[in-house]
Amino acid sequence: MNSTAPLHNTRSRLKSIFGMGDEAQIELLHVNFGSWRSSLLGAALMNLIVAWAFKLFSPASSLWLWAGMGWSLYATMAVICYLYDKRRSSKHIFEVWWIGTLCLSLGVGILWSSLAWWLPATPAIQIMAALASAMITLGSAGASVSVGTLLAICLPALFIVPAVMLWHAQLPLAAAVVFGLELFIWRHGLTLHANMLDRIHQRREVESLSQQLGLKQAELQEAERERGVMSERQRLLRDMHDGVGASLISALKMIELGQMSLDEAAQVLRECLDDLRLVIDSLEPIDHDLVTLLATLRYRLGERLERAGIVIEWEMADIPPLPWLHAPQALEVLRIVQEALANVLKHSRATRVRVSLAYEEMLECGASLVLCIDDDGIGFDSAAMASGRGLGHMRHRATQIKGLLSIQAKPSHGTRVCLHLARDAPAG
Amino acid sequence: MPTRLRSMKLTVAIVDDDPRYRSSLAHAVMSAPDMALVGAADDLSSGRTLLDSKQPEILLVDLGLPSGSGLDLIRHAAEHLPACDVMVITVFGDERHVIASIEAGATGYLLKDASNGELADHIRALHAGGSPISPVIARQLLTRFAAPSAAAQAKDEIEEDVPQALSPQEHKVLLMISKGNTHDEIAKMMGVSRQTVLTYVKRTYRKLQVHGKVEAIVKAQRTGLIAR
Repeated sequence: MNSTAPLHNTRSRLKSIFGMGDEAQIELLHVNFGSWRSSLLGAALMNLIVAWAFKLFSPASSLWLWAGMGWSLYATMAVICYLYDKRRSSKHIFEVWWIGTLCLSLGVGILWSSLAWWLPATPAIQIMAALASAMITLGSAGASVSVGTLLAICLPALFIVPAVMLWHAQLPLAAAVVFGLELFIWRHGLTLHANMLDRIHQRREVESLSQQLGLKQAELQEAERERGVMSERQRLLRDMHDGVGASLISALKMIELGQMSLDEAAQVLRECLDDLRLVIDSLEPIDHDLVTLLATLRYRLGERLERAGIVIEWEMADIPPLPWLHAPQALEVLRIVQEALANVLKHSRATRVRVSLAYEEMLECGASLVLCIDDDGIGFDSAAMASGRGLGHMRHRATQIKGLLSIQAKPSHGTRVCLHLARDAPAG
Repeated sequence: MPTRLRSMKLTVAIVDDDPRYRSSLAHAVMSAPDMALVGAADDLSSGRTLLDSKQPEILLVDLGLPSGSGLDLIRHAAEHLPACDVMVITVFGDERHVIASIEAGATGYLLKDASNGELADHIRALHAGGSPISPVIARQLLTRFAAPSAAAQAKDEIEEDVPQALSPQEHKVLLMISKGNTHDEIAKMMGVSRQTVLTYVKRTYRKLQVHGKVEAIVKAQRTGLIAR
């Protein structure tokens, strides 16, 4: 492990220099490979024209050879770029091709750096040629896509141009100045390259962050939905356990012990069925419509009350949909009203029951709803009955939906049960 | 039907796979003086044979049959026996089952725990042209019909593809039922008989059946399938 680690390190550093260290560097290569093609073709064409012109107008000079070499280098690189662009995949880069291109770049660098050497050793021409080389180096350095390309362009310029100045042109001062200039271009190219990479890194980071954010959000929504389903399921289970389940088991025990008559057993079963109906009704699609929810209760129980000689008066106000009225809340409302109606049926000896829903807009505390069940029965002493078990259950259910239950009763003056609800109460 | 002879009894067929419930239903029908049981079957294929051979006026059918859905039998009856009223037997009368049955062609449904007397009454009411309906189903019908009629009004008055919209009376009846009013109360408020109210409901059921068929065809065309 220890012996391979430095090797690995060197390798990755080398890759980074050649522009294949990470995905951002590879992206930079890919982007530029595409755009290089046309500029390389242009350069090749220029060199071809220059070579032809030199050959035509100054056949003694060997400059046409220089231009011809430039043409062949540029043309080869353009072909490589073209082929490469067609074959590349989004992530992978063909190392051999890339290193080949680098070598060709090195050739271009050498060629341009040696421009002054091909020209007559007149100081003015030599200095002009050296400056032209420096200009080309500066331009190429600006378009470098890796430290490798920068090296291929700048290294020859850094050493060959001053060498030509020193030995061919015999201008030591110019050699020193050109060396400094090329050094500066090298530094500038490095900074430029680092900036380009930086920008790509930042963009990629933002992209990956926003992608992560999207994933997290989707996960969160899914978790929320699942939590809703789970709590709904748990609520149903608890309900079955405490309600129908408990009733059936106690009835079964009593029947086994011979303590329950057939009529009583049928009564228990009927109550269980009623209870199941309430659960089913609470799950029906009513779109937060309290009036339809209450209507299902009348539909289920109305006939039974009328058979017992109780006339129902049904007075429903038009109310807007209640945003908090989901299945769990619907079941609580149904249970409260059913319990109230069952009490009317069992205990009140009433001949008339009025179920009314009123809607009040109040400035200080928003809109509220009042659902009342009035009967004209025998009533009871509300002070004595306030702690009764059935009433306690109803009160508890009312608090579950952030409502308030009031019960007014007087002996022989009927009973009035009212459920006060807010329109915008948050679901509990 | 006013032209019916008094001596002729209402013919009823039953298709239900639960033997105990089937015999209790059969007993209820046989003990009604104006009804005759023409047969009882326990699955889809024998039910189909029964329908074709006896051509009953009333079919009582359970949705969950061992060899397939009762909906297929309802469709069969709606296609081949236009005079037959189909009544679905259901435990809870919940929206999902009932709406699917109506779309298949049923015009009534019966809660399984109805007493024998209630059962006979419901069958008579259905045959006389009245359909039972719960507030939730009324509400569902209102929302189902709301969209196409609005679209039809926005475009042109009459369009062949759009199924008949609800008449104002039918709309009113459904609305009042969804708010919990009884048939008697609605009849009183509208100044018509209870039977008329029930007839309005039955008509909306027929419209939903057509509606369902058109929806199915449109859906099939949209997805590139050919309607069955």
